[in-house]
Amino acid sequence: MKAVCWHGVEDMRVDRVPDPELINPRDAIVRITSTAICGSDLHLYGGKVPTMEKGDILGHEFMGVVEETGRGVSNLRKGDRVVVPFTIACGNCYYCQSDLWSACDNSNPNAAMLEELNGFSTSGIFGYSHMYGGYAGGQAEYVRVPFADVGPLKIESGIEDEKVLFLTDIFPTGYQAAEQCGIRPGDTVAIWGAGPVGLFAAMSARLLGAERVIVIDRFPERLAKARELADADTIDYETDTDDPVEMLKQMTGGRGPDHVIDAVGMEAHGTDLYSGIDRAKQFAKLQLDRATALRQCIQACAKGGTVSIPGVYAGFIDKFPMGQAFAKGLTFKMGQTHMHKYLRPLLERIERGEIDPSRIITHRVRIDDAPRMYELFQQKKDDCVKVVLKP
Amino acid sequence: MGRQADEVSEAMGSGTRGRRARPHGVDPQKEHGRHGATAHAEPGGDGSNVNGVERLLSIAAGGALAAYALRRKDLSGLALGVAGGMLVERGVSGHCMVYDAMGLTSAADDRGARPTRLRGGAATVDAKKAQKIERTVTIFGHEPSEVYAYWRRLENLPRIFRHLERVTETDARHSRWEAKAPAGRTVSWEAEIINEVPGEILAWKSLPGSTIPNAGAVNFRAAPGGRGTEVKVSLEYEPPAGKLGVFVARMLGEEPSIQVREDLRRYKALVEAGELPVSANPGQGGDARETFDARVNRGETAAQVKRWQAHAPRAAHEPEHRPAPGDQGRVDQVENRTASDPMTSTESTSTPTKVHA
Repeated sequence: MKAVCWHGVEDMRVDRVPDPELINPRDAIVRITSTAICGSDLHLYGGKVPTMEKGDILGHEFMGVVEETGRGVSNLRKGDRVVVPFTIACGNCYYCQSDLWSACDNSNPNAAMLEELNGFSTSGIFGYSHMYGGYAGGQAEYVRVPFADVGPLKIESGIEDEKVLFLTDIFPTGYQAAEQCGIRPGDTVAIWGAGPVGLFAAMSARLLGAERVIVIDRFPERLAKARELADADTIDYETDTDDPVEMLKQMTGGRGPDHVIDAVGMEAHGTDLYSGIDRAKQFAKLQLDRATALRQCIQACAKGGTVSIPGVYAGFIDKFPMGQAFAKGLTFKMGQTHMHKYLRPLLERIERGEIDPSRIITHRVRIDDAPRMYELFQQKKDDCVKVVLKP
Repeated sequence: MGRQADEVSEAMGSGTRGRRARPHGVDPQKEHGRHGATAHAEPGGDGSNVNGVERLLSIAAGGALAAYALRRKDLSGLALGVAGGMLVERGVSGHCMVYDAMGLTSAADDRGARPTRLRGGAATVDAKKAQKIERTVTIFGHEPSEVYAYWRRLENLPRIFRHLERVTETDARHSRWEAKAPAGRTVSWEAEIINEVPGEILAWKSLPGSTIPNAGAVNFRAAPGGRGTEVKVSLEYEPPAGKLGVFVARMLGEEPSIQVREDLRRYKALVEAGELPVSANPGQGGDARETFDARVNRGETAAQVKRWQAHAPRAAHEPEHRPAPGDQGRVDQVENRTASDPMTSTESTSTPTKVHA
């Protein structure tokens, strides 16, 4: 089959690889009908995530049709149309049973690697380095789905792929980010990053009743999407201001946004001094993360507010304004999305027409064009926000 | 030797009196830290792991190296200078980072014979030479009595610890153990159960004359709030070739503490999820289904795995698989092992347990 394989920093290739096979009783093989490039794939593309190997198949946002099931999978059969959550969860451990699916104890065969880094291991992830399990991803024609009896969600209606594809990651991820803010009537939510997750967080904040949504970015086309999809106010931190924190304060009657969402993560850009220091440290491998967005989030957030972090971080951060966080009594919520918990409720929202996830798509290409799309997406050329690949 | 020896001896030597001698569910981080301290830093008592004579030599050699380095004004001079400085530092502080990394120490020699032995009837293992392993895991969804019952049937232990080939119970208290040793050797010994409290403690020690004197204890305890059963394994053994033997084993990737950690992780996955996670990448492994873990999941019997092992050309099955820390899906680790349901059976071709529907 054809698959999008990682060959090194900024070196993606479409290779011919053997088809996946059933290995475990709870496996299924899914023929991919639609897949996407995620912003977090760019961390792999840019070589920011360790334990990648040449030939690794990327892709954790995919859906398709069940081809084959193991003897432990009784809820799916050949021909079922499914979306597959990007985290892999056993469904049986304490964390799965507590709805903390991304903290699954038993789905990462390389748990020791992640334990080395983080002290604890969390769930395996499709196509996301060997420390996250070394599972082959779904930017391919076929994929093997472990624990298929608990992960995949059947799509029974004839709704098109593009509307449900983002249930695999970015919609639930943006939704969880907004949900864990605990939005109350009248609340203002500020979101750093108008990429796909930021846009879904903005739309979700609206769904959850936020009075006002403010989105911060530096790409006019992305900010335009935020205005269009979530009726957001926007701040372009390169042209509108050199101090987004102060601007947010002034936009909110001096109170600051009630909740802030960092949908940027470890590769933040910025114009201040600290972002320059971060960049130098990251270049010198002294620090994995550039934390500009997170620092601004903490500085901007209103007293008693929530800092919600769907953006990915991987290491230690210097110059963390802990004093401000403490002074204001902020609540921090973060982590990989507990995908399995959100699939069905969010599918229902889509089917009811409350949200149309396909509106964020800017590029639709054949899988053979994936390497070019990685470059385009990374450099945000051609107004690229979201790329969908068709095998 | 600190609390670790105490724990094992409590569990092993003192019958019911010693139960709950210390809190069982200690923070694993702290636990780990203490283990490290025992293994590396403690011998000198002050964090040192280099003995007196060696420290003096270190200072002298380091000083000479640094002096020589100062006269060379190039890059290798710099490197030599750094090395010299490290030697001096090692001599002054008595702490060697290289020894630390290797898990070695020469500091204990300083205090001459200070044999810290296990107390009571459990003085099987010379604590001065002993390697200690301690690891705790929580098994969700099962009561201590269930988990205990599985472990008490000693024949099951090789299905948890992959380096055990076979355990045969000869009577209610005695058993014969066979284990794989580094470099393809096999060792065996006789062991005796010295403490058992159903659902709580199981402890054993090897009988005199064993190649590898060893002792072990397993504590079982209900985790709070219905979080399952905490299983704590404490093992002590005298490595056959002393500290050098441990170092060589580690270099060969057979570090016992890592093996125990990974074995317990696998045990947990089998009990909780009903199968071991396998992530063979179709781009890399020709025959992903033939990995050890995949065969365990299929519930193959010992005889089947053994037959396959005898005929399988290794290279054909795992062409490019890179051994990762904790990666157990390797063909060369296939052992004489029955598979499947880790909670109930000893011999089986049955389907793995599955809690979740």
